[in-house]
Amino acid sequence: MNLATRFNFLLHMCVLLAAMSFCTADAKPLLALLAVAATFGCYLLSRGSKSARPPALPRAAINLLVFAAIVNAALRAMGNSGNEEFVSTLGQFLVFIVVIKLVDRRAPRDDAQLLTLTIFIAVAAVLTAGSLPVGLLLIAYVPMVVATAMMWQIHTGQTLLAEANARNPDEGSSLPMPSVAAVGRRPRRAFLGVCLTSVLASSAIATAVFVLVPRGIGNDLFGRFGMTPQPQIGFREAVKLGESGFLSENPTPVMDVLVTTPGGETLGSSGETLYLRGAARDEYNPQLRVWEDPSAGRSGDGETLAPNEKSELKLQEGYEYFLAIRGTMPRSASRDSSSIPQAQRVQKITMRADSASGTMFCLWRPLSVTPDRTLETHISPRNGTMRHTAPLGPLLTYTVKSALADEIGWPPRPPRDFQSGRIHDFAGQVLAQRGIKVEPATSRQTVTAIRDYLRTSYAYTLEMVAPPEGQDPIEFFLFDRKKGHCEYFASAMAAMCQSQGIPCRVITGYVATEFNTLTGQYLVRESNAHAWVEAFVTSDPETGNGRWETYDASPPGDIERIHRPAGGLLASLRSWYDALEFGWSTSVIGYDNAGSQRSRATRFGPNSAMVTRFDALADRFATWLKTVRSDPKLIPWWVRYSPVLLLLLVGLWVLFRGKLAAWMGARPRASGRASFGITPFKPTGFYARALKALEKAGVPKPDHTPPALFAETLEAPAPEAAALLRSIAASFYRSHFGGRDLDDAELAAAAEQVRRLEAALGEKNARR
Amino acid sequence: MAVHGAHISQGAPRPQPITRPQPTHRNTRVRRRYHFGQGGLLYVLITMLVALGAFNSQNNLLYWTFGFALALLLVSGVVSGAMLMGVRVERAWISGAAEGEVVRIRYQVRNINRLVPAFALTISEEGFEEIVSQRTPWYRKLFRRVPQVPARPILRTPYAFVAHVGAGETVFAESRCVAIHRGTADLSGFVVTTSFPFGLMRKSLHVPQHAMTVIVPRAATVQLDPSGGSSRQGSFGGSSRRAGRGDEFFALREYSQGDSPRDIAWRASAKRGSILVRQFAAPSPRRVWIVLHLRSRPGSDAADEQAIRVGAGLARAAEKQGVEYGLAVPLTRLLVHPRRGEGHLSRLMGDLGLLDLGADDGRGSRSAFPPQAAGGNANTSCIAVHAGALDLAFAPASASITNIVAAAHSEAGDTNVASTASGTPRAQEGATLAA
Repeated sequence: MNLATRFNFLLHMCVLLAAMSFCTADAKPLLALLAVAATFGCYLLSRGSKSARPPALPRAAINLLVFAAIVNAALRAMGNSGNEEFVSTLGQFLVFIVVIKLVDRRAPRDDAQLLTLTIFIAVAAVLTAGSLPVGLLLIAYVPMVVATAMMWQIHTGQTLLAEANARNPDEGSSLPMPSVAAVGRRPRRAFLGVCLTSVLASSAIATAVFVLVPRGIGNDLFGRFGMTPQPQIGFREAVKLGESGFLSENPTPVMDVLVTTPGGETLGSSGETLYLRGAARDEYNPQLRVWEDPSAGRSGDGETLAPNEKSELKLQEGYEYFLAIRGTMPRSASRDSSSIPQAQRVQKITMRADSASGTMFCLWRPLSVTPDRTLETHISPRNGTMRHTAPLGPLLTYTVKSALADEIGWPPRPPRDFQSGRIHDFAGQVLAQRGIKVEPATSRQTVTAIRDYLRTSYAYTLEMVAPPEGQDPIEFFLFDRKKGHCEYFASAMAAMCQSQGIPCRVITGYVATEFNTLTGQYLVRESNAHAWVEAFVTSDPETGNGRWETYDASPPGDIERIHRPAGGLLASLRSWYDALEFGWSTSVIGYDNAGSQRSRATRFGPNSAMVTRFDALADRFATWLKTVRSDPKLIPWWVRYSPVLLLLLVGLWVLFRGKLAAWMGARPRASGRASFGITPFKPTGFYARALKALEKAGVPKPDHTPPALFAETLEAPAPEAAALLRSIAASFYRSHFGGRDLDDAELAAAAEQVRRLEAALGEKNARR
Repeated sequence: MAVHGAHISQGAPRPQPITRPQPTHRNTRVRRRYHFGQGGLLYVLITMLVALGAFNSQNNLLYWTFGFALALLLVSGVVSGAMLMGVRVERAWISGAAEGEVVRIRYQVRNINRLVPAFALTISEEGFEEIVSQRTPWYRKLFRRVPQVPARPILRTPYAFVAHVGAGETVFAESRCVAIHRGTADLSGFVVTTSFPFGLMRKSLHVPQHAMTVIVPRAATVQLDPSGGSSRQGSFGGSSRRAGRGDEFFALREYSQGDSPRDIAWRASAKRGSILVRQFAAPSPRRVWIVLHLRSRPGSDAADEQAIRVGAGLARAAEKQGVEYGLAVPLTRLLVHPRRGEGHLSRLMGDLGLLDLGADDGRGSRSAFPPQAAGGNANTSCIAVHAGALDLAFAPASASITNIVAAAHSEAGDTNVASTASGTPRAQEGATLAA
């Protein structure tokens, strides 16, 4: 494999990896297939070629293909709205261009363009997604592109040499002519060494920059520029019944949950299932066929909140916020510790993907929450659910402390729905059959009976069937179809409980069943979305106080079957992969999400004047920029027209650069030394020592006098020194004009003569 | 005595390259320069955009990409800097050549660095146009800096490339370039350039090492036909009265040790009483003066060059025929007395290569025929090469042009070769040259 073939291989690998990384990031399997096929095809074609390039298509065909790619991109761009689509369109366009360029390689310049295009594609991949496969592909791409860029330099030089030699044919010469460039020993090894060193050094520096550059500076100055679209999960808070289709079994990871005791002991096992609450719905809207939360989006519920309670809260990153049962209050505020239940579970939740509603998940009502960044949240005091209200960056991590149940204490508002009707009657029949009389004292028994009834009498299916027109979906499930998915089971149970006066709400969230022993965390996938209920179980019949408890009406066998991860080798590999992905997500993608303040504070001290000044400056700049963005008229005219000015300047430079160069060249140079094109001679070695000795002795040699001639002037006053200087001059002439360096013996002799000259001049001085 | 049957053709002759020792100037100051090209600018632009994106979006992958882009800039500077700091390049050898032939320049590239190997070093001579790929787009031509190229370059752009020099190694690289014109190829210095490793920045070493080579004229093929001669000694034959190894008796002399016994004149020795040996007259080489009549009219530059090539061809042919040949160019007062041998040919070709004709103003028309080249004895003839039309006035004072012996037709112009009488009747007799 010669240099050209090796370069060709590397170039194709770069194209392949860049295209694959973008297609993986943008989820474009067809484009990936096209890129792979084109790359392999061109590589195979180029292997048979002498120049290690595939045969180039005719120029007209290339132009036509490029035109088609441009039209395609333009059509896509016209239908786009956001930054993400723009990057996606641009990335696709670049992949198309790269594929076209693969069959238009005629000169080294084309190879360089191809390589540059792959870099653009890699950047587009970074802008599109930061998932582990994309990261792995880019990690493979980086050394490849470095090696290819290096090899391009050599390959291009050799190509130019071959072209130059072709222009200068040397037929009939008796002397051997080099057909290739001069090469030292073991070039491949040396190249690998330089390449590896460059990659490692660059990676180390890049990592240092990555770690040290403070985050938060310039955040959101230019809108969505550079932002990676956050992966979104299909989770929805609303429980909407009556739809048809199939439930998704998407295995995309949603979050990682680390559960510990307050003492720090990690909890969890493969057999233990956790219910992660997301949203709670306790009012059924039969018209819309949805469960709703009447308090959602409002600051408080008049029934349960004290006047000073609020549900909209801005949480500062790194601070732990204690959320009192009766509302929320920051740590600094005084609180009555007796009213707060003891935290029994600490959950550190890392959201790999965000939901459209901004739902935040936790095991039970949060007693305290510590986010890793400043968050604007809505925390519902009524049902203890949280959601953030502003868009987030990657990987939100927050720590929640909670009890084992929703120890709200006081009785909630009695249910108002299903107090009559078919479901009410049906629930009554079910309970009557089991001999259960609904009273506050027996609420747990009642709820359990309903749950057991549903579990045993109804079948679980992922297939969703819409009820006939005009029929309520819950009734359709209970009385007609008698099978459905988790939302039907939860809805039916909530409806039946509410019909019997038991406060009950439908909870949507995730079940965590997949415990990864490598990370000690639960991995929750999108397919783990689930719905269940929370029923208020009275513990004190007199006051009506009690707590909310979790009940899952779905058949446990089916839940186990659907949500429990499969075993075997593949599952083991998958858990490794998941652990790796978690590491990638938290260490790379989510590195230092806390933002710049902590970093800068750590580095410069929290009250550093520099930090304060910098912050003020950055804030002023950000404010100005945002103002200007909102009103473009505020932009100074020279900034507005700067592209035109720039173009004008470039044009002028192109037109008059020759004259400019001539004008600059005609001017005398600043350095007088170089103005006459003469480089002054700087003596070195033994000759310099001899001159220094002469100077020290008070008989400096003038610059214009050669040393041998100067020796004659010394003849009368210092004959010994003159003889020595003549000898030194001879050595100097030999080294300076003889066309070879002096050997060691000659140098030693010259040095000895200089030493003797120094001694002779010293004696002369002493005598004087 | 005459030169018979001269035939001139415009075929490409193949003279051996003339190699001259190159002066080596040590202690020259090497200048290092850094050029930030379009590639580097584009790279910086991309890096800035990535940085902007990273700071705006707080995208950690973009931060890393930004870091890596910065690191590559740094590594590029360090690697190429360390690489070039350790590279010592000298022009080791340069070949001579005739017009249209290839001049070869050899460079000695040493890497005194103990750790860092050097890659992708391009060596080009200063003052020549930059070597770029054959397929250069228009925009690159727009932005390419035009070097100060001499109006009439002697050599086509030399280009040498060193793919790799290991740490502590020495390699030799050669560049070859076609000599376009005769003259002195004066190489003031050369530039070692590299944009290794990533092409972000071009670094160059300017080595002011002066060297010179003479491009000799391409010798037109001139065949001197010996069959047309009428002298007794053959085409260039003639006798002389000096001792040598000829067949004609010259004199007797005393025997000295080492004389061949066959040369002993036994009868004379017997008469004399001491051993005498016969001496023979050596055949005297004939002499021919090649006289170039140049700049005889304004605008005769191409014809002058053609005449010089013919002159070179005549000299080469004379050398081949064993004739002593001299050269006279009245315009430049060049006079090379007739001699023979490769050394003489080399010197004469060099002189022809170095001929500086000056302005093309026709001042050569006033040139008189050099009296030294007019001959004066029976062995000497002269051939005048007229650039362009035959100038009948350009002839020795004692003789006139006897014949046009050859005419070379070329796009460059006509060249007429005329044989002029040397002043002796014998020479005039035999000076019939056929084209």
